[in-house]
Parts: sequence; structure tokens; C-alpha cells
Amino acid sequence: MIKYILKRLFSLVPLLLGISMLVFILMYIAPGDFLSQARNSKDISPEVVRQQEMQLGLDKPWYIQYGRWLNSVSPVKTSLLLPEDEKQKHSPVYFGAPDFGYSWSYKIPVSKLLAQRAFSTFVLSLITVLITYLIAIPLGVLAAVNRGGFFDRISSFLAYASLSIPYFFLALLAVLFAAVSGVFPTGGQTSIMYDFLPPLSKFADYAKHLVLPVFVLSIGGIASVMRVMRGNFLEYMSSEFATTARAKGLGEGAVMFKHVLRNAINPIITSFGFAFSGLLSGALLVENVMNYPGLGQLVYTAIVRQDQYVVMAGVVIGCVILVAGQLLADILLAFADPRIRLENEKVPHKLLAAIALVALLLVAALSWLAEVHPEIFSWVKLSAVWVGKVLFAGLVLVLVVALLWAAKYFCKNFLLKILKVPRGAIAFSVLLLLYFGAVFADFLAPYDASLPRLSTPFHPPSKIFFKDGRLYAQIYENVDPSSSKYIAVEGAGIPIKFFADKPDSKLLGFIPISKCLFGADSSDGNARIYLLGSDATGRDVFSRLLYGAQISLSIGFIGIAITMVIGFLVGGLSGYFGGAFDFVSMRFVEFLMSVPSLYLLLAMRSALAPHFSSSQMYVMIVIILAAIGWAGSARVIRGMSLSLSKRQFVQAARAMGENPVRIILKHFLPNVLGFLIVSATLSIPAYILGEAALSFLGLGIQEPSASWGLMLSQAQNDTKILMLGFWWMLTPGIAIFIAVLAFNVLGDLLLNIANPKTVKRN
Amino acid sequence: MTLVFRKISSLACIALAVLLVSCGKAPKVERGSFPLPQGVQISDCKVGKYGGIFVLSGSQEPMTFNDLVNTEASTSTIMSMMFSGLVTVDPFTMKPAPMLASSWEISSDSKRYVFHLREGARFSDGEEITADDVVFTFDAIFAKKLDADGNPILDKNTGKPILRYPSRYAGQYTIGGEPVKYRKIDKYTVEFETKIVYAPFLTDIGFVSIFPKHKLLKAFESGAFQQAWSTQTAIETPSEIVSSGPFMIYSYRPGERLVLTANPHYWKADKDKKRLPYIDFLIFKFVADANTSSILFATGQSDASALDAGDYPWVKGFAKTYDFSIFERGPASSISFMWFNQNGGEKGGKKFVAPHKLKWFQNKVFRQAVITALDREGIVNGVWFGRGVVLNSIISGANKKWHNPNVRKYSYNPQKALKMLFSQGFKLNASGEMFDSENNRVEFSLLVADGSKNSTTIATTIVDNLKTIGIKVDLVFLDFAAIVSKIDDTLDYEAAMMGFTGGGDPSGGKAIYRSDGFLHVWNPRQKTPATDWERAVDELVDSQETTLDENLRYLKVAKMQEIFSEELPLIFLTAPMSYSGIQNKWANVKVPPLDSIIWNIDELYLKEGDDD
Repeated sequence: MIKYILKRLFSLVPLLLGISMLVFILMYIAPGDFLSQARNSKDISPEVVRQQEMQLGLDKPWYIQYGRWLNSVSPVKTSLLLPEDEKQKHSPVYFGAPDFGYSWSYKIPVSKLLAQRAFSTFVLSLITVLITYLIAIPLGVLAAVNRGGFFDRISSFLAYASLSIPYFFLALLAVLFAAVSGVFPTGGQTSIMYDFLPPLSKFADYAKHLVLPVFVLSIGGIASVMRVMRGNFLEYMSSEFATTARAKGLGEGAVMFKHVLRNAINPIITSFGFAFSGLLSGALLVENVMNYPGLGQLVYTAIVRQDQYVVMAGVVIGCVILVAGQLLADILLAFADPRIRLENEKVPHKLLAAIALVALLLVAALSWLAEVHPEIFSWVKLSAVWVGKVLFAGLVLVLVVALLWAAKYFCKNFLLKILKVPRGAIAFSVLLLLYFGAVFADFLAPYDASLPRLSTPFHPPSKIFFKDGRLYAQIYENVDPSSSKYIAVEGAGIPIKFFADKPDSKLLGFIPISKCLFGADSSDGNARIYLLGSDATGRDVFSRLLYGAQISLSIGFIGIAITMVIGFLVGGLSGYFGGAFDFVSMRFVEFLMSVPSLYLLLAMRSALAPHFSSSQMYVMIVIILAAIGWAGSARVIRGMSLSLSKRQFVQAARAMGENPVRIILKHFLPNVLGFLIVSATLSIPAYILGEAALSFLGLGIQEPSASWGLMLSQAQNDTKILMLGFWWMLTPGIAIFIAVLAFNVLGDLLLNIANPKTVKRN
Repeated sequence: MTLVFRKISSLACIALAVLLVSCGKAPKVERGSFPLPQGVQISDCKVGKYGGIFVLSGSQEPMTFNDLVNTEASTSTIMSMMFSGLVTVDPFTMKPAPMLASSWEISSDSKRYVFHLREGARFSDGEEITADDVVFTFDAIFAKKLDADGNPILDKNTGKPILRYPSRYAGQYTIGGEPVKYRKIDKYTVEFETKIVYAPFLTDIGFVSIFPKHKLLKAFESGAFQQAWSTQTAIETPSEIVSSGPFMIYSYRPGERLVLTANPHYWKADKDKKRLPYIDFLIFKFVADANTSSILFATGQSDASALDAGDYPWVKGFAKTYDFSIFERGPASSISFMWFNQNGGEKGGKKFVAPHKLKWFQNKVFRQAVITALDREGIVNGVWFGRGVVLNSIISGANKKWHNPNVRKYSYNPQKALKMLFSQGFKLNASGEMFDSENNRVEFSLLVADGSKNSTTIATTIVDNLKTIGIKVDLVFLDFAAIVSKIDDTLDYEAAMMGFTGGGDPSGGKAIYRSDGFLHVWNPRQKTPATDWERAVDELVDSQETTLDENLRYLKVAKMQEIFSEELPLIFLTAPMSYSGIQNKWANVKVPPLDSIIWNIDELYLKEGDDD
């Protein structure tokens, strides 16, 4: 066991090296640096900026900068990398304590800076995890025992609902609630008078400040752990040992709590480790909204300011916590379930060394080129663009085929069963409606997504009334432009015309229709019908919602299709071939899974953004999300394919000399397609919420395009929207909620259908 | 089972109730234990009483308490509560006013300044503030980096010595190409000498606060000056950070709040010889998001706040409930604008701007047509809810002392804009798209910093406005850092949108106005002025600061503004009105035209009956 743990910890070293180098390069590529702000201040002379640049080593190429960082964190150091005036102080090779370096903006050691914040985040995470499990496990058991009853239904609905709220949005609502009601503090960790409190009250004050952040952070976790617990409990309730125990005359209580519970809780225990590791990323958003002074907030600001050493330390810590969480999960599982053995894999050392060498050489060659022949990079970029375009076209083709295939499979195997269950039918038709709206947005939306009308900011939704055999939209007058107060003009209305003209309207972007479903029948070209009100520049929220759906709803589909295709290929092949290919690809998958994804997203976004126009940003976001997301499904599919490849029909096909690609497509795919569709349905919400989270951080889709996340972030950024009660600006939040809820319900149902064991019992 | 549950829940209720009512009382702050200094400044404010806690909130935390490291405005606000310079600017008269220097004389050639320090004024630890501290401060600013033999190390690119502690001040106090000369005359007198006559010297000298030599000399000599007085010092040993202003550090919790308490050695007193400030504790509460600041003020949880035009309408709704007043402060002093890249240069054989586009951008009439086509009044209504103004000059109207109201103004008129463009050979095709005389489609991309709610709205309005006269604009949203690297370094862009903080002396804007300035964004760092009007501006900017005659200076600055508004290298956009709110329980509130509402925080006191 100890050997295993040591080995795992040792494997952290190459992982950390890889990730730190990746993040460092991304930060280096990202335009601007720590001194950007200073460069643009009129009272700081460029000469001083240059001298500070030299002081921080920013004038050196990236590998020297990275080398200096490595030098300071490693216990074995070399003076060759040090700046001139420090070289003499040390011998070429010397030993020293590992050191995260200095924070440039705070001018104090990073380790001290982290120590200021680490405790807060640790307390928040620990309490969140504890609360999650303490609440979720009993609730899950109750729901299982009460299967099909009132409590079960209510709790499962609440679980779906809480899984469907973007939790930064929940955090915002919590802050608003706190501000208006005054029951809980609006944020922070301690109250203003904290320094003057007696010790016991200090503790109470601290506890009071933890309530809302813990609530926001744990609610999603409670819902999912509860669902898993319920499922496990149900499975074991009807298992053979339970039946045996009952047959032997054991009381129902003893059966449930002594036998069933102990078995059902196993997988939950292992998820404990994972729960812990995921909290750092989650805390980032919540810490930012709720103003909780933790690590997440610190590292986020450091990324924005490009305070290199703080970012690097944050990434290293995030990574260590992730890996430690996974390790904890494995160890807990080994303790809880004696059947499981922690095994050591055979490591193809030579192969690894070769790969590392090639990678190193490649990086070195590229850096040399960048220094000596920077003009080559415009060629590289040009060719990369063309290769990218060809690849993209190929990918689109594959995706279309894959989607069609999946749709066919879905209709054949799932559709009827879903429609038979009422909630399934409702969820399916809701999704159908949403996607119908997105596809026909150009026809359904009365106005273009970015058509402003500055004279009517925050116009309320127009009332529709019926007069003289025609439908009218109420006319409103802006009585107080300084606070956008509108009053209905008695009896005045704009007649509504169906199939009104809408110039330049192209269905799906290329079929010219120049008509839309309805519009104002008025000679005044400026007359507008605002079904769902208008935003800050008088754009129609209803139209923006429809156009936004095109992005928000397709991001999930395209992203998940990419994820599944890559995940299937990598997972399938590595399960089939095993050996070195398996080893390398699974290590890569683990590498991706150990990267603190939100930080990587932030770094990638700022490194790549300048090379994309705002219309291409959509593609980029899908790619970033999918690039990180495919690892998880690859791992699961590898497991499936590993067991499939031992089955007789595969062995037979292999013996007959069929080629691997054919085997995978013909024999593997039909067997895993069900799983793929189910897990795709369950993962789409993550993309919808991911887009919203990126937009919330200001890194998502850009104006003037619309997406639900972007629209919601406008409402979040502008306090007056909430404070003056422009409720219609929150409709994108409701749209996100409904779409995600529908996907969750559908996915859960599909899971039951695909897994007949559970179906029987439900 | 139910009984147990009930018991548990009632226990939980009690526990919760206990949690909610817990509150503490601030310790009493002792006053009057130290005699007033001989050179005390007597304030003519109304005499108040001691006590009270003043809470401010802000979204930016201090990065340091070391003035030499500080590069940020927010850190400056906090530091101004703790540290004093020699001279300050009176926010009402806009004239230099005494601070640590109680008086000064200017020599007849206007190059030498003698400052008399307050006799007996002390740092918060009781050490006297003397000429040695002033000399030490400037020694630290100009200290050179030395090699092993004690010779200054020279910068390979410029040939100038490298500074040991590079800071903004080194540049600011380098006047006429040379560092100011300074010397101690006696314990309470220092003399400064500038190479040339430099009009804003008296305001500039107050930028830096005076460092206590007895505390920082060690750090200075060991080379760790920039690491001294960090946030860590404030956490561990706040008393090490000795202050010379009204407040000193009581405690600091990073990410949460900074608690300051009255400095028992402050050099200012009221008419009754009671030492200021009246307030016991000044607390800065840090919040992650600027919006939260306004919410805190609106719900009575902070005592004063600056509010933007967007927040005003809803914050005022709470004024009765939480008993505060909001003052309108006039348009903000910052200016926002868009501009076209007029740099005709190239890098690696690639022109920064396509030649045919450069031709438009360098055409004054094109720029004037663009501003005429912009519905800036509409932006004021949409973005600022009518609480804003259209900018017409490079110095905002908020800077009353220097603003020139009589510059050329442009009002929204798309028809006129079209006519102006037609006169330059531009033409429209059948579908309303604009082409130049060589049949190039008129289109450009506009860089916008992402993340700012208002710049996004303004940018989308610009796109729509210019679409109506047939010009196509593509928005490119980039990180602020990415934009800076484009406009400062790579220069490969067509147009950009940005803002600069304003206010203060026009000499502070030299980097923008002068053709060799690095923030002369449309064509920075010119070796010689590219156009006649830029040459004229350079001359005006240089000559206005070499005379101490304020009227003459104003005339030159006004002329400079006329040139900018005629040539429009920057297409001025809008400025919001700014507001400040403060709770009514505070007395002695005086609202200056430009400065922060709490500029005289040392004089504020709790009104009778408002104990808390």
C-alpha cells in the first residue's frame, strides 16, 4: 500500500512539470504581461517600465523565465539561470529550500500570500463536503425507502432543479437576498466589528458568514450524491443477500441499515475524494461573487494581472489537490471494499523517455525558431489555419454522420419508451420546442439580435390586447428616462401584422425569407413590439433569446459530439490494443483530468483570443470545452472496450483477420452507442452551464452576438437591472434553467431505460 | 422520533438566534496624550466630538503600503489616509495648500523652491519628521543600481544609469531631462532646484509621501526597499508602518478589510486645539465586485461611496430608509474616445495599416464625418440613463480650471456626415454601402476591451450608427493587456476604443498630447512631428509649463484643445455624471467640485445623538 502511494505521489512530478510548462507557455503567448497596466499609465515613464521589466526578468525568453521558476521551486538549484548580479552569490549547483518565488504585485513571498488565504478555502471546502454528505446520504436513503412516494418525487424534482441552476447565478441571488433581507451577511468571511469581538462571538461571526457560501457550493453536490445514493440503495435493496437476510427472518430495519446501507455507501465514499478535488475550481466563482477571501479569488486576480509566480503556485496547488483527491478516493475504496486491490501497472519506461525526449526537442526547436526566425511563425500560422480548416470540414462531416446515426438509434431504441413516461414526454417536447425556436429563430424573431433602439432602454414587455378584430401591442411612454420608467398610453396600440417584412432575414443564415412570423403594422419604421421587453440599448429580448438559443443550445450538441467522437476513438482503441498505446493515452487522459480546468480555460482563452474574431469565438469556446471534456468519457469507454475485446464475437472477428477500425466501428460501436447517448444527454447541461460560466467571467461569446450566458451576465453586471426590477432581463437564466432541467430529466430517464436492471425496479 | 426531532430543531433555533445577535463594541481610542506640535495646522472647520467608525468599501485591495511600489489608484486612496506629502492641492481653489510643509518660497528665477517643514510634527511612532526624511525619500527615488566596484550600472539601450528601485516618481521628478536637485538647509528646511522653469512643480512635489528614515533606512541599504512595508507587514506588525497622515493601521485581514485608527501624532487640530481626526476607526471593507460596493452603501452598511450614473437611480430609492444624501458631482473627469491608427510605419515588411485605409484615417474630414455620424446623445441616454454629457474636448469639462468650452463641437447628423464623405470622393452603392474613390469598401475593425459593461454597449451603438452611413465596423473584443500590447507595441490594428483618467495639471497628459509621447496613441513616439498641427501642439505643451503665469498657461492649453477638437485624432465619446453619497449622520461634510467626498475625512464627526 505504502509503495503504491509513494509511486502515485512520485508520478506527480512529471505531471506537475507538464502542467506548469503548459500554463507557463500559455501565459507567455497571451498578449501583454504584468506591466501592461503600467505601460498604459500616463504618469509612469516607459523608461521606468523597461527597468521594471529587467528587474522581473520579463525581457528574457520564456524558457529562461520558466527555468528560473523551476530553479526556485526545486531543492537542487543552479546559479546559471540567475540574473547577473546574483550569479556570484552561489556555486553552479547548490541546494536551497523550495520556494514559490515573489508575488510581483504584492512584493511578498508567494508562500506567505497563499498562507494568508489557504485556511479560508480549506475551511469552506471541508465544511461544504461534510455538509453535502451528511445531508445527501440520509436523504438518498429516505428517497429509496420511500420509492415512488411523495417524498421521493419531491426530492427528485428538487434534485433536478438544483442541478440545473448555474451556481454563480445562485450565488448572486444569495448575495442579493442577503443584502435586501439583512438576515445573512452579504459576503466576506467576518463582519466589520470582528476585530472588536470576544472570542466566542468571533467564532459565531465566522460561522454566520459561512452559511451562504456553503449553501451555494453544496446544493449541487447534495443533489447529485443523493441521486447516486438512492440508486445504489435501490440496487442493493433487491439484491440476493438482502433477500437471503429477509428470508432468514431478519427485521427490515436490520436488513436496511446493517446490510444494504453498508454496501450502498461504498461508491459514495470513493466519490468523497473526487468531491474534494473539484471544489477548488467551484470555489473560484463563488468566492468571487460572494467575496470570500480564499485561494480561488487570489489566483483569479493573479491570472487577470499576469502575476506569474502566483498563478504558477495556484496551478501547482490545484493540481496537487486534484491528484490527492483521486488518490484519497482510491485508498478509501480499497479500505471500504477488500475485493479491490491497488495494482501497479507495468510502465513502458523506454517509450515514455522517448516521448518526453521528442516533446522536449520539439519545444526547444520551436523556441529556437521563435527567437531566430520569428517570420516562420506567420507561415506556420497560415498553414495551421488551412490544416485547421480541412480538419474542421472533416470533423463537421464526421459529426453530422455521428449525430444522424445517434438520432436514428435514439428514435429506434429510446423514443417510444420515453414518450410513455409523462415526465419524459414533457422534457422531450420542451427540448423539441426550444430547438425548434433556435432553428427557426430568423423566422420567429421579429427583430435582428443586434438591432438597437436607444430611445427605449429597458422597455417592459408589451401587453397584447384584442380590439376591432385585430391584435394590438400596447404603446408605452418613457415618463422618466433617468430611471426607465414606462407608463402604458391608454388605448393606444400598434396593430400586429402576421408574416411581416423583415429585411435581410435568412433562415439558418443562408435561406433568404425576408419575412418573419409577426411584426408591427406601422408606417413608423421605429415602432417595436417587445414581447419580452428590451435591454440597455433597446434591443428586443425575445429576439435575442431566440438567436441566443442557436448558440447556447448548439454549443452543447457540437461540444458533446466532439467529446464523444474523440472519447470513443481514443477509449475504444486503447481498450482494444492495450499495451503501450493504452498506457500513453490513458496517462494523457489522466493528465487532462488533473489539470485544474477552470484555470486552464482562463489561460487558453487569453492566449488564443487575439487570434480569433468575435464570430469565431463561438468555435473556439466549443473547442476549449471539448478539449478538456473528452478525457472522462475516453476513460469509461476504454473500460467498456476492454471488457468487450475479451468477448467471443470480438475474438472471432479478430481471428478472422478483420481490421481493427472495422471491428471497432462494427462490433464496439453498437454495443456502446446506448451508453454514449445517455452520457451525452447527461453531459450537455455541463456545456450549457459552462458557456454561461465563461460568459459570466467575461470570457464567452462576445457582443453583438447573443447567447444566454452573455445575456445573463449583462443582468449580473448591472445592479440597476435587479434593483429597478427589470425582471425580463433574467429570462435567459430561466431559459438556461428549463433547458438544463429538461436534459437532466431526459438523461436520467435514458439511464433507467439503458440499464434494464433499474427499469425493472422503477 | 418526532419528539427528538423537535428538540433538536428547537436547539438549532436557539443556536441560530445566538449567532445572529452577537455583536461587539469598539475599544475606546485614547486622545490628548501627546502635546500638539509647534507647527500645528489649525483647521477652521466646525468643532466636533471624538468617536465613531467610518466604513468605506471598495473592490480593489491595497497591494502594498510602500509608496515607492504603488502603481494603483485604489491603493493611493488608502495610502492618502495614512501618509502625507509636502504639499497638497486644495480641492476648492485648485491651488497648492500646505501639508507637511507649512510654507514655501520660490526664487526669482522660478527654479528654486524652499520648503519649511512643520516644526515638531511627528510620525505615528513619535519620531520627528525632519528635512532628513525628505532627503531620504528623494535618495530612495533616485538611488542608482551599483556594480561590485560601486559604479552605476548603465542601461544598454539608453546609456542611462539603472535605478535601484525603479518607480513612477523617478520619471515624474525628472524635469527637463534631469532629476530635481534637493538639499537640506537645516532641520526644518529643504531646497529643491529644477533644471528649467516647470510650472506644475508645486503640485507635483506632493505626489510622493515622505518616508520615515528611521524605519526604512535599513531596508534601503540592504536592497530590499521594495519589499518593505508589504501587506505581510501590515498583518504581522502593523505598528512598523508608521504614518504621517490622519490615520494609522490598526489591523489588516487580506481579502476582507483594513482597519485604520486615529494617528495620535497627526499634525492638524481644530480651533479648540483638539487634535484631529475626530473619527476613532476608519474601516476599508474589500468586496470582489464593484456592484457590491453600491449595494453596501445603499443598504446602510457603508458610510460613503462614489456612485456611477447607472447606480444613481436605484440607490437614491434607499436614501430615506438609510438616511443618506447623494451629491451630483458633474461629469466624470475621465475622457473616453475611439481613434484610428494613423501610423504609416511597417514591421517586417508588413504595413501596420493597409495604405488605402491609412489614407482615410489620416484624412481629417473622414474623422469629422465619423464623429458627426455618431449618436453620442443617444449613448448618453441609453448607457447613462440621460446622466452624462457628450465630450467635445480632450480635457473634460470636469477639469474646470483647464477645460476650454469654446472648441468646435459636432452634433449628430448622419446626412451631414454623408455629405462630408461625398466631398472627399466617397460614394454609396445601390445597397447603401460606402466605397472610397478607388472603390475600396469602407470598413474597419475596432478593438474594444472586454469585460466592461458600458464599453460593450457603446461599441455596439457605434457599429449601428456607422452602418447607417454605409461604413462597416467589426468589433474585436480583447483583454485589456492584449489591447495595450497592440497599441503600444505591435501597432497592427485599425481602430480602438479606450479611456484615460483625467483631472489634474495638463502637464500630466504630456504622454498623450506630445507627438513623441508613448500614449500619443494614434501615432506614438514620433521622432519628429508628422503633421503641422502636432508640431503646434508640441510647442504649446512645452511652452505652457515653462511659465508660472496661470493665465498665460490657460490660454496655451485652451488653444491646444481647439486644435485637438478640430483635427480629431481622438473621436471623443461621452462621459457619465458622477455622484457621491454619504450618510447624514456625519457633520462637516464639504463637497468639493472634483476631489473625493471624504477629502476632509480628518474633520468629519458624528452628529449629536448619532452614537453607534
